[in-house]
Amino acid sequence: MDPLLDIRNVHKVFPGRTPVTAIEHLNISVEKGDFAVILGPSGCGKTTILRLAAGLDFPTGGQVVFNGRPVQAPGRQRALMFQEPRLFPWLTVEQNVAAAGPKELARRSLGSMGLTEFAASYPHELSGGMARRVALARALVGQPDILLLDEPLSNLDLPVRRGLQSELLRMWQQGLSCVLVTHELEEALVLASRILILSPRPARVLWDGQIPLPYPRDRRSDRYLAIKQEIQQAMEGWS
Amino acid sequence: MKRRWVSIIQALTIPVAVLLLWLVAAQRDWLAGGLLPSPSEVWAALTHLARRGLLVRHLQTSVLRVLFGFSWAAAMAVPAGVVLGWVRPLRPWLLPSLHFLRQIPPVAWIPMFLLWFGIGEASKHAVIVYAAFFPIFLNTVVGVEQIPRSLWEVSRVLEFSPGKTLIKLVLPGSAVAILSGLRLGLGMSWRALVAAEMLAATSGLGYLVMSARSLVRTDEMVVGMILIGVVGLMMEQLLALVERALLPWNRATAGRGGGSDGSIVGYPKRS
Ligand SMILES: Nc1ncnc2c1ncn2[C@@H]1O[C@H](COP(=O)(O)OP(=O)(O)OP(=O)(O)O)[C@@H](O)[C@H]1O
Ligand SMILES: [Mg+2]
Repeated sequence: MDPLLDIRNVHKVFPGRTPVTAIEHLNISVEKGDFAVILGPSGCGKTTILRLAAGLDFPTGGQVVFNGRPVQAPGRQRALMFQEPRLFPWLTVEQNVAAAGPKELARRSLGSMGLTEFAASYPHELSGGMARRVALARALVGQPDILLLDEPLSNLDLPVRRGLQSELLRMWQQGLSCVLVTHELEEALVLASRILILSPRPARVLWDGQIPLPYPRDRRSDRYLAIKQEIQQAMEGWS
Repeated sequence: MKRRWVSIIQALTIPVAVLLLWLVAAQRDWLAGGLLPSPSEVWAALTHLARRGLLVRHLQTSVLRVLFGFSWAAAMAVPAGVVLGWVRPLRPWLLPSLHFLRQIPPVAWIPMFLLWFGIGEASKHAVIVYAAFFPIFLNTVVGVEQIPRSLWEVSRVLEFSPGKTLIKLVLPGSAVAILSGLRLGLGMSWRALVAAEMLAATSGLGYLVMSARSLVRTDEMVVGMILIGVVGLMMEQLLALVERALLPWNRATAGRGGGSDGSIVGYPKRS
């Protein structure tokens, strides 16, 4: 069977006075049902990968294929949660979420994230963590086949982080395939069914493996620690 | 609410001081020579004009002319500005010519408009439409241009239709600029109308001032001028209120640099 999202030998060069090669010979296949976490150092091209997958940018070489078809434009089946919330400042929380799908679903989605109370608030009235949850609710309302997440948990305090984590896992367990990029190992180990480690820019895959651990992850178990150690070794390529 | 009182007092300080000075000057006979009427003469002229019904007539004529012309200008300039702000490839074709036209003040068009549209209402309306069009249009273009790229990307990821993009992104995203363009345009068309009425009209506040001149009635001139200023001010304030009512999300950010409080959005640079 074809992979859900297939990044085939992709190059990405940003032209300019000094052209930047963000990605070089990158191959990543995401299968249906994966919770793939792409772990890479800052500035290695993580956001670029997601933008290519979403169809906001196009590769200089190679191909991005989704469900057997080359990606030519953004589409609702591939929901992207940006690194920043990017809510429309002139729409209320509920209107922001409903802009992405049916109103009934928007309400339910807000409810499941504990945001009902803030449905009528404007984005500038929200904390960073709440804005992030609204962005996630919006990404989910379109009922995508795959969810692309750009560091959804960074810069959040622990309780908010835990909440979002379990929300993401719940969506995944209901059958949503996820690709998450981050530079934090812990975030990856808590969520991933599979981890890919990237090199510094230009991004290449250094390590790719399944994480066969049950959820919620027990950070003190031997298997967890063994996998963590193996990944940390792979991450030594970062410096 | 204390702030509000302070700003009202601040706003009134200079007018009141000028009025007092004027009263004193009249009392001491500094105004002899008839170049400037005394406040009491102005007041008398005002009540006289009001009693004869002329005041309301001229006022009404001018205001109706502006409202009519301004509405047409807004109805053309906002859509045109949205299209030009949105469809970038059109800009290099149209903007240079539009910037050229913008240099020609409305008053300079009056002779031409008189020739084309006659001495009646149509020529006045043409002046107003012309005067209001550019501020509204150019502010709209800038407003649409200034919508962050990041939000355009969101609209693409969510697969907005063009109509949805217009309603959810383009119009609200440029609303602050459009409204300040409307306010500028209203002021421009008001001032242009007065000029048009002075040159070629038989009614309106501009006509009132000009006809007073031929009779050397400085008192009526001052009445006309003050009314022109007051009405212009009131119309602008009215639009400022509309602005505040329409942009609830903007209130919190206003005054921190990107405010809607009378800040004038610049014209786009030629590129
Ligand atoms: N539009 C662009 N034009 C030019 N260069 C770009 C552009 N977008 C990204 N880059 C460059 O590509 C490289 C990768 O950027 P990218 O944003 O994908 O990194 P990242 O891994 O997401 O970084 P971070 O962890 O800081 O979010 C960087 O060197 C960046 O400067
Ligand atoms: Mg990034």
